[in-house]
Amino acid sequence: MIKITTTNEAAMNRIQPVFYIASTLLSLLALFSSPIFAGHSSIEDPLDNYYLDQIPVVLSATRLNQPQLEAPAAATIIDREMIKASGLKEVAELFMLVPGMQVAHTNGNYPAVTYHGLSDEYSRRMQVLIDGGSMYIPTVGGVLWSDLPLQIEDIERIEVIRGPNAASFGPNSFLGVINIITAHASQDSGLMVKATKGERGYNKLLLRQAGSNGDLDYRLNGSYLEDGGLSTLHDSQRTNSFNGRIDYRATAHDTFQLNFGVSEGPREKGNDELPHHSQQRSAFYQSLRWEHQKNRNENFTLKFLYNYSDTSGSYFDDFGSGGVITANIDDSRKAERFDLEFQHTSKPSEHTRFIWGLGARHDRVRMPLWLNQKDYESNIMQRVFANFEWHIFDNLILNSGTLYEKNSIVAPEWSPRVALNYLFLPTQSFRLIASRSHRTPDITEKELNVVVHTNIEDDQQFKSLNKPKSERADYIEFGYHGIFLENRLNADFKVYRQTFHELITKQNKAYICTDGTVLPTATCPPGSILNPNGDEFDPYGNLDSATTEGYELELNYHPTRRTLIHAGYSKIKIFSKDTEEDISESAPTDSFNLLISQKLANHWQISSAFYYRSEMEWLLSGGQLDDYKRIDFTLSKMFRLSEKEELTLSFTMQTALDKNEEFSDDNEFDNRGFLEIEYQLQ
Amino acid sequence: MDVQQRQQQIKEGSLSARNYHFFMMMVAAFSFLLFSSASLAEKLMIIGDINQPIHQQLINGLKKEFSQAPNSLTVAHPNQITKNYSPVAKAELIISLGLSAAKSTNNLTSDTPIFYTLLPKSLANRFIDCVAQTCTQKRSALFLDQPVARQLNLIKLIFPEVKQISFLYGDFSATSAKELSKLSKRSGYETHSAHVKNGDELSRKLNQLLQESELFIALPDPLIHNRQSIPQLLLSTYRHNIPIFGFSKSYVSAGAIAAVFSSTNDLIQELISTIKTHEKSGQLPRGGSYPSQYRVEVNRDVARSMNLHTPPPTQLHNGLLELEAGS
Repeated sequence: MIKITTTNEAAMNRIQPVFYIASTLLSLLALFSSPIFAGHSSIEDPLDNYYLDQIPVVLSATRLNQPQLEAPAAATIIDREMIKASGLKEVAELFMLVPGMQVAHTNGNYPAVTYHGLSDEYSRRMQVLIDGGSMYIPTVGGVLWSDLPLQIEDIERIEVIRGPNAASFGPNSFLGVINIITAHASQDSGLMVKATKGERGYNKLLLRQAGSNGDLDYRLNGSYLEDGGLSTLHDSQRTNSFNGRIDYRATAHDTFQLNFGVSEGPREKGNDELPHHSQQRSAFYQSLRWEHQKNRNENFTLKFLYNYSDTSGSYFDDFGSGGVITANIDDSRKAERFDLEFQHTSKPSEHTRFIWGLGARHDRVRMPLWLNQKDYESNIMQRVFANFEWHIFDNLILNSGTLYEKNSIVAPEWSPRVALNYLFLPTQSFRLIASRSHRTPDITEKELNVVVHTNIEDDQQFKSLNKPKSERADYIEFGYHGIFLENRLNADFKVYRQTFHELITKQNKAYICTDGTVLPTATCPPGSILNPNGDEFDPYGNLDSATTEGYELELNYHPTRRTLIHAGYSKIKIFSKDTEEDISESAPTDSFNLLISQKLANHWQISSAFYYRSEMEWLLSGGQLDDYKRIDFTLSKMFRLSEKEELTLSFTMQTALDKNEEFSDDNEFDNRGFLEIEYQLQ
Repeated sequence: MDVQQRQQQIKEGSLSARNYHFFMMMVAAFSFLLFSSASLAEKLMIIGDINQPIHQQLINGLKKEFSQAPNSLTVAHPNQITKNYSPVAKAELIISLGLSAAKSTNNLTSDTPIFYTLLPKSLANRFIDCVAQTCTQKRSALFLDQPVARQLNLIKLIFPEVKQISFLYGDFSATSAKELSKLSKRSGYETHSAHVKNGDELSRKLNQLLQESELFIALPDPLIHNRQSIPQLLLSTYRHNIPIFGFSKSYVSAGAIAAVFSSTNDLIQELISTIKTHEKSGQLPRGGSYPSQYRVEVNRDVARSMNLHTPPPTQLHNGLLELEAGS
């Protein structure tokens, strides 16, 4: 059993999110009760204007899926039907359904997700958004998937853009973009209780209440999760979370959306190298979005996001010295993100669409172990972006965009993109995409300075080499999308090449010369020699370059409304000069996924998924992983208890078909069964 | 040329100039009569609420049309209508706008014919079909909604391959629902429908219905399609990739895939035509009529997003006219 310790500081930190929630709710309340947003005056005759009155624009451009025939990118859409059919319990695992994506558990409570490799346990080169709000954690980069402020049941659909899209989604959209879109609060109503029991100590209870009051819709979730993790590691977790979404239609033209989530709980850590200890994690997220739909062709959005995460955890380490060398290590991490963005979308003509916007962001992190300081480090960023879509002819679409970003870490950069879609038939198109993206180093990459203060000496372990520059990627893609059999079959194919320059990676051991120069090799400038004290460390810097090539195929087939078949295949080859890390092995050459689902009579549903990837090696993971083969099977049955009550029972079995190693060779995926019972009262 | 001749020329010249001016005045007067607003011989009373934008637009449209006879047209608020409201007795035709006005006509005892509009057929029929003992007037209506057959024709034109349609109905739309069931079955569609008794049932019944549907038809019913519920309906149908057919232009702007509807201007033109016919012949459409003027709106953004191909609205409108002409 994990012992949970709560310090005064942690308690104070928990007050902060509560303060933000309360202040946001109060602001909303004040806003909604102001005369500006007072509802319509009472109408005596309910039919007057009924047929001819204004109805708010609901399916605006921001809510609609972009038609894939015209999209300037290859995209995979994971919708509710696929999520249910997959039987998967974690959001991160859903990306196994995306061709070219890799998913692994670095431990049982920390999944890692990347696209086309190039990632360690913190995937810094992917952008992850929830309803347009970036979930990137500025401490060590990447996303804390197990602390996401949402339940898998909240997801309306996930749009995965397979390819860089910095021009639209910002600087971390280097490899791809994951945009998680939660269901509008009006899409759920009543009470839901869901209990899941799984092997290896997995227990989850979810309570949901959703409803509406006039123009206000709400959905509130409370959940408790405990998970024993992988059998080979100390990686259990307990998480209490509360999250929700509120949608409010202030007028026929103005809507507000508030998303918020709080989660907290202990996580176990420890393996052969790291002493067994417990971390207390808490995270808070809130995003408030105002959308003004001037008319069908023009809208404005203003979005504010606040994201906070706190991992506290100190441990004692004797480095296997039998107590000779010891240290108390403070591996606590705090991060805050404030983000404000304005966007204007318009259709200047029937054939053109223009989007532009401005944004500002402030990131703050405090990481004593990683930065060797107790103060906060900050990064302030401003950005301007614009996108232009032009239907030159009915069957030829030009899409171009760019992002200009200025921040306090590196020099300002432009990230442009241009795409051309040619519909040679109304249901089939070719696309050609070219883009240049930049990725700003995060605060840790810039200021990394890991020094372990032992009882004997200060041991320098990692350090940023000089001041890292932005990474750069040039991308070109040729793609095809086809719709067949009266929209029942969708096929997408792409072939691509992406060249990376100035990749920030770790190298084993650097050398300090007597003149203070830090070098990756033991060759000092003339007049200087290597420091005789042997100050060696592992440096971070712009040390690598690489080229990725390959192709991907995705098929979605609905032979009937009750049958779903989804398949994806990816071929990746990475060429790299491979200084130290084996970048060329960081993605599998082949990966494949298949999901089949069939709804049967009497509310039965049966589904199965198969996942395969060939050998690969995650960066900084310590070893190559063998092939991974896994088959999942889900069976469910819904019982209608009364006109308003439904009970659904489902069973999922996840089966490894081999010795499935995930992030490293001591993380073995175990077979796991889950039993779920869901009660709904509407 | 002597002075006398000169005077004669001048006289003839002025005479021809006068003839020319007279001729031009006659042409102008004829053109004015031909192209400007019409006069109105009979007295017309409009019962409506000018505070309602739609009422105001209709009243202004009629006033503009009959601006030659401004005294022939009077406007009264429904609250003013009592048994002894004297302007009613002088009117030769009453135009009733909306439900409140229609209810107020129950107070009338004069035999002035009443023409209802801004009411769907199901409601208008309640006023038209009153028994002779309780209402002595000749009654008729211009319905606000579109005939079910016209909506089915539009579906046929856009999605000829669709086999299953679904709709929700409440008490208000029960008559239309019955007609839609009957006609759609006759047209070979498999229909799925559910009766919504109160707003709380909406979400549940909609989600059940969408499991078995290819296309959803919105039947006008304030219980089911209102400002609060329409976002939910549109989002749910979109989630299931099911196109929804609306009943107004703004429903299409909000996210429905298409609708056939009559605009305010269409209704004004229909009213003018009815008033003129009544003035000439004393006749009103027997049992009421649907608008013969209508238009089609398509939301191409939604269609493209659902990977659906939709013909242009003008082509669909012409297709509907052809189908109606052929039937």
